[in-house]
Amino acid sequence: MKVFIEKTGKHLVLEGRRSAADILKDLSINPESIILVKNNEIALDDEFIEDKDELRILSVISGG
Amino acid sequence: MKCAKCDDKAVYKGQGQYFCKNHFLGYFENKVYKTINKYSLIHQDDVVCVATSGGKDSINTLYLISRYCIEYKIRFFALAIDEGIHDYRDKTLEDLRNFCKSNSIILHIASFKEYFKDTLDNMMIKTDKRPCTICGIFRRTLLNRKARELGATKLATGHNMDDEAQSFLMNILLGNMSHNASLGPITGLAGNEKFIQRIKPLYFMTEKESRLYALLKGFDIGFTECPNIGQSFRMIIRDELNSIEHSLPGAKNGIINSFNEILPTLKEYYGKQKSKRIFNYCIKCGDACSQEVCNACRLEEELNVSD
Repeated sequence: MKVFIEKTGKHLVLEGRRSAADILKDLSINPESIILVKNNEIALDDEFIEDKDELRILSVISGG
Repeated sequence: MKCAKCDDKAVYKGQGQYFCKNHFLGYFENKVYKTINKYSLIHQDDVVCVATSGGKDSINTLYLISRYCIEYKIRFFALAIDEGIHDYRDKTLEDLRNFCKSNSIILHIASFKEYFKDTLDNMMIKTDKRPCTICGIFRRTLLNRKARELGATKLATGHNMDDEAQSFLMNILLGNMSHNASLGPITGLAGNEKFIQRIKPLYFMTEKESRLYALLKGFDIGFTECPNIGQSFRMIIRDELNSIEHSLPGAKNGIINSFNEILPTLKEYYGKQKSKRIFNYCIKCGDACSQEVCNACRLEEELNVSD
């Protein structure tokens, strides 16, 4: 799966089906601080992400 | 997971509630309008100035205030401050101009350069002060001054529940309890000709809800963060608060509700102390302040950018 982290601008490639919550835990990202977009649709963190999926992790914090 | 109100896929989970796109948008808008009505944030004869930066919170505020004001035939306009931060503010202002143009909203822009004779970038070269200190004082002053010049009676800002909970906790940790008396969904005294009352329509919406609303409405707001933000005390509190919220969903809501219970007592207690002091107007600019010279004029002197 392709993962994009908006806050850092990082692109990652991860393998193996798992829940979005597990991915966030592995990346040490607090679910409260982000919104997930799976294949261009808003997703909740209990959704499973497959290898063919594209996941964008958007930061809820912006501005200043 | 499905929406609690229909069979559509949920896009939002909040304190045990799941909503689809349409029901989330309805939930968000109803809660904002309920805040406006419950706290009497806007009256029929008001002229509302919406302070906008081009970020998600202020764009949401501007959009919802515009709908409210159009429905109730209340005058309103948008005001943005150009601090002069290269490669940042110019981009957010461009997004804001496009948004206002496509929604037929009048936009005014006031700059540090015009009112304080220099850009924030240049001011930072002249002082050791943190950019957020300079920006905070000048931006607050300029929003009030320009809104007043344009005839506004209310100044709406995009402060959300996270901002307010952070401020409340920061003031406690720093021992500045009196500053908490100046928080709340509406601040400032009605009828003061020098200080425009401030209102916060997003007061009961979390930061996450605000970003989701902007995303689902299709407001074209990319991720932007001020280059001067650094690792501030507020960021530490923000991260800690998000950790607590993750472990204890509803914690932010609990903090804000508890705060609002004690807010009238804080206002009464610190209001009495304040009334013992002689209320001043700045001898240089004439703005309301608690000392002889206001913070903005003192800062101008320090930066040596005043006449």
